[in-house]
Amino acid sequence: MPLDPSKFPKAKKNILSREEVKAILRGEGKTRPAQVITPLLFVPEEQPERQEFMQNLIEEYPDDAVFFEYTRPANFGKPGDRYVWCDVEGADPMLKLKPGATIGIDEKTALDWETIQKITRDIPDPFAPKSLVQNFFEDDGRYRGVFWTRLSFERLWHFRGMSETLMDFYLNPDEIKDLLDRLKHVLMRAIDRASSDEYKFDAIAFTDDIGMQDRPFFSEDIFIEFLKPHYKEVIDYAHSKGLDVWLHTCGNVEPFIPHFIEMGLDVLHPIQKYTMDEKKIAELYGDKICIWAGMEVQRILPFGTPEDVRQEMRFLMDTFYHPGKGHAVFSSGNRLGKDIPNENMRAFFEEMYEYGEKIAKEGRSGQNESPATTKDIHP
Amino acid sequence: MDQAFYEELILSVTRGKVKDVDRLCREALENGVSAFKILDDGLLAAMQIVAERWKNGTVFIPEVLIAARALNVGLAILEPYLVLGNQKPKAKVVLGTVKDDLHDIGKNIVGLMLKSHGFECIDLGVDVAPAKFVEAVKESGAKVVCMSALLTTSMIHFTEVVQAFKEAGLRDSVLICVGGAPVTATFASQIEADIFEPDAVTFAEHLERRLA
Repeated sequence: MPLDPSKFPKAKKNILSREEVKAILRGEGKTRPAQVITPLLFVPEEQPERQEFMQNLIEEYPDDAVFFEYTRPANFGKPGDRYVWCDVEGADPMLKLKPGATIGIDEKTALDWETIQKITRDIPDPFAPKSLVQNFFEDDGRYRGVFWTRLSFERLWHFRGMSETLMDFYLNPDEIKDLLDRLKHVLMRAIDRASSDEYKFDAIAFTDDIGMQDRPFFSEDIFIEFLKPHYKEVIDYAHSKGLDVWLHTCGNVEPFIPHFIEMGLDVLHPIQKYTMDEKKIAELYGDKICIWAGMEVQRILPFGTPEDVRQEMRFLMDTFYHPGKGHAVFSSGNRLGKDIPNENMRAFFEEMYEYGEKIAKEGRSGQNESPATTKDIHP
Repeated sequence: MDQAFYEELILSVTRGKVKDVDRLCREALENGVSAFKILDDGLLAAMQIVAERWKNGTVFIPEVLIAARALNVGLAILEPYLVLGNQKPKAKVVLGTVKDDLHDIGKNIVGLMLKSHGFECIDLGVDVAPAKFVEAVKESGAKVVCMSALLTTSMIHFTEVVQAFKEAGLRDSVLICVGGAPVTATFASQIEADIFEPDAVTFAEHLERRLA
């Protein structure tokens, strides 16, 4: 399906074709960097007061690669349900919560191993829902994919709670591996559907936050023993079905990047600011994997000036994008929260396109430093 | 008990071997060793090693958690003997994740490490309103309040908590400590927090030094 620009009447930018985005991912890009996934990072229900503003902004600056959020299985259901994570009657911990008590997000779906063993093995079934994704529209010539959150570690702690999962690597390793095996089959079914004639997606994107501010959640040894084999099987399967694999992971994941490359991961997001040295990562790995660089959302985007935002975007592009090769795509680093002023939001989208065009034509200036190097941006 | 015993106990804690910790603590008590000595030279010495390894980046959260779990097994065995010896907690600490924030792993780690250092923790959970922090301090007599936030949109509630303590006339009676991924030293200073600690694992040591 060729790209039809008439489908984007309000766009203030050209839109990259599917082939142009694929070339960027492969390190053969001759165009400006691609803008990707950005609308998914804005949740309209959380910010109703600026839905119209964001809708207009996204129509002016549409994604070059568009991803559809997957239809989320319910956390809990009953026996016979096919699109739930747990079909064990009465398993939901929230049902047992005492009045006035709270459960943290890291623990609110946590189950014991006895309950997990009772869950029907092949659920959720990605072929069960009417649609695999939300708000689907037909191919418009752009690179497209499904965004399936919670790949492996996140799904483990969804089942066991964060603290228990982290201890399970030592205390219940066989159970963890068995759970990862179950999850792998669910993901393979999702890949089957995503690559089928029903959708013919180009990619599947996952999230799996395995980094903290200053180090990963766990050691490289744990990563190698538990997660790397799991990731590798999923990536290989996706590739066998013609899908690129994109991965979002928050935090410092520097020790794992060589493993991501070795596994054949196509795109990695976001090289989170304040957790890793962007220039160092770009130098070591920028020619080996496509970096999906993210505008920083903890400080610069919400609390900087619009010029800070523009300067940061220029810094990110100078750091990660290789004119004539590509190997970098851009979005925000995480959700576009309600504390981001509208003028900063506009500056982000505008500079992503304007400097992208400039860098593709004129090359990197090499002179753009992050505003974070000279000022402490904070609330 | 000889040095080899304490080395075995330390190793058992650092490796999360709860059955060995249980056995060794009981064995030492049966042999007439003071609960305080087992605590200081065994359990707390082990956590000190874990904290050092955390600081130099050779252990991660799983290793900290399994060690803390093993420590708590030992503490539970020693506690009756410590109480008999009038061992009081170093201080009472109220902790919680602020309003509009549901993340708790960082708070939970702070709580574990505080307990391992002899503090008594009153954990208010997540999504905690300012008034609830004040109420908890009034009820418990706690002298330390720890607030956590993972979201930039929720850390603004730190200011409201500080204000709530001022309005209750309790601001000078408590140490207010803040932490969480988006929190910076500058922000903590702006909101007049007493302690900013970016590291959940080493916060207990920081608090000990501050209270000394």
